Amino acid sequence: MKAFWFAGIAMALTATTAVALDAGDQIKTRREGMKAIGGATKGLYETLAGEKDVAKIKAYTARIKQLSGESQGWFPVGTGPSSGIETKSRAEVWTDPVGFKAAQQAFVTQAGKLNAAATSGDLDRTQAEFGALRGTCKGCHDKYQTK
Amino acid sequence: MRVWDLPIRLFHWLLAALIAFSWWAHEDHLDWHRLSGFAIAGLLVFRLWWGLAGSSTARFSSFVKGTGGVLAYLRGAPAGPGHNPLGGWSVAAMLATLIIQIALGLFSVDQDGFESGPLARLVDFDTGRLAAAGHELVFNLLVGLIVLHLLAIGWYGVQRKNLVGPMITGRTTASDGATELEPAPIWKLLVGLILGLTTSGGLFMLERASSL
Ligand code: HEM
Ligand code: HEM
Repeated sequence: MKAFWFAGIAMALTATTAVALDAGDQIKTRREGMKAIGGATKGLYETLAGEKDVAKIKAYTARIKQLSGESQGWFPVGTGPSSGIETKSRAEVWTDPVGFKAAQQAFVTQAGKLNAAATSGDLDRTQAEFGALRGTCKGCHDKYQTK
Repeated sequence: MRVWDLPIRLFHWLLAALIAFSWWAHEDHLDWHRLSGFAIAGLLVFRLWWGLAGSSTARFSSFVKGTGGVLAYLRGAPAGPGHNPLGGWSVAAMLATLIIQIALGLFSVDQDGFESGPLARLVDFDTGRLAAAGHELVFNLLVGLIVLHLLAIGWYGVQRKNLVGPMITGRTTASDGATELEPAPIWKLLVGLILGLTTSGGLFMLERASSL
């Protein structure tokens, strides 16, 4: 019986530390991921404004599309400000899940449209969809990120 | 007697107005923020030239004094017309901080990667964000220096020494130093204007060439 309790406590302790470590890792993944998106939008902006290399443009839009999908897994419960780990995500991400998921979905949808436009080779449309994409970044940051 | 020439006074008030404007525009009007920054860059280049070639009170050699000069002034030694040795360092610090501020702004990348400075394409996203963080930090330093500047003006005001009037009219009634302002020849002013306008115009064209 003693051994049972001991094992139970040991397991509980391991589980808590695992969650804590996990939250740190998950927040890190989230931040690195967001930076990767920023790197891609910066690159796409410069390519559209500059040499207009279609292959490069397609590579950027595909990357943005892929990361937009991945971003839906970057906000597991327990990785908000109450985790005690430094994050700019506001608690509203989790207290307003409907609004937040809608903001995520708008981003994913728009990243899809952007990639479709780039794949079609129509640069004017690509640029227009890129402008709309920007609204989805800003829309979410304004509401769910601390300053 | 005359203490500040017209170029210095115009420089001063344009700079103050543009800094206030840049601050206002940084939140939701980054396009205007950049344009205002290019104008400030031109003003600063003009000011550096004027500090070497301008009228006597504008020249760095006339107001950037060593520690000896500053200590003597603090002990009550009289100062000539123009910046006193302490004020001279405050001016130098403001100008230097602004130059760093502009340099960082040129490389700054905004969080979403759409509103970068015109040289940001030379650096990657993370470096550009680092520049933006430095840009924010140095701005706070700049605000600190401006507050000191205004406090000092207020302090002299309490001592019945009006510094604001001369910066508007160019004239002071006090004749403490009694040396007249030595104006710079007009061709030097023209050179300064060309330098400043080329800087602002060059940055503007760079921006045009690198934005959607
Ligand atoms: C050529 C000159 C300049 C350029 C290209 C420039 C560019 C930028 C850029 C791209 C940002 C956005 C950074 C971000 O979103 O994180 C920014 C922010 C900012 N800039 Fe400038 N800037 C310039 C000059 C100035 C000057 C002269 C001032 C001082 C009044 C100033 C004050 C600020 C402030 C306070 C912010 C907000 C920083 C923050 O909270 O993140 N900038 N600037
Ligand atoms: C953003 C705000 C301001 C900035 C960045 C600023 C900056 C400066 C700089 C760089 C100088 C030196 C000019 C030179 O190159 O010779 C200066 C001098 C001066 N400024 Fe300002 N200024 C600001 C606002 C003001 C305001 C609001 C006033 C008046 C209420 C003022 C009054 C003066 C006066 C009187 C001097 C001459 C000081 C002396 O006799 O040494 N400034 N300022």
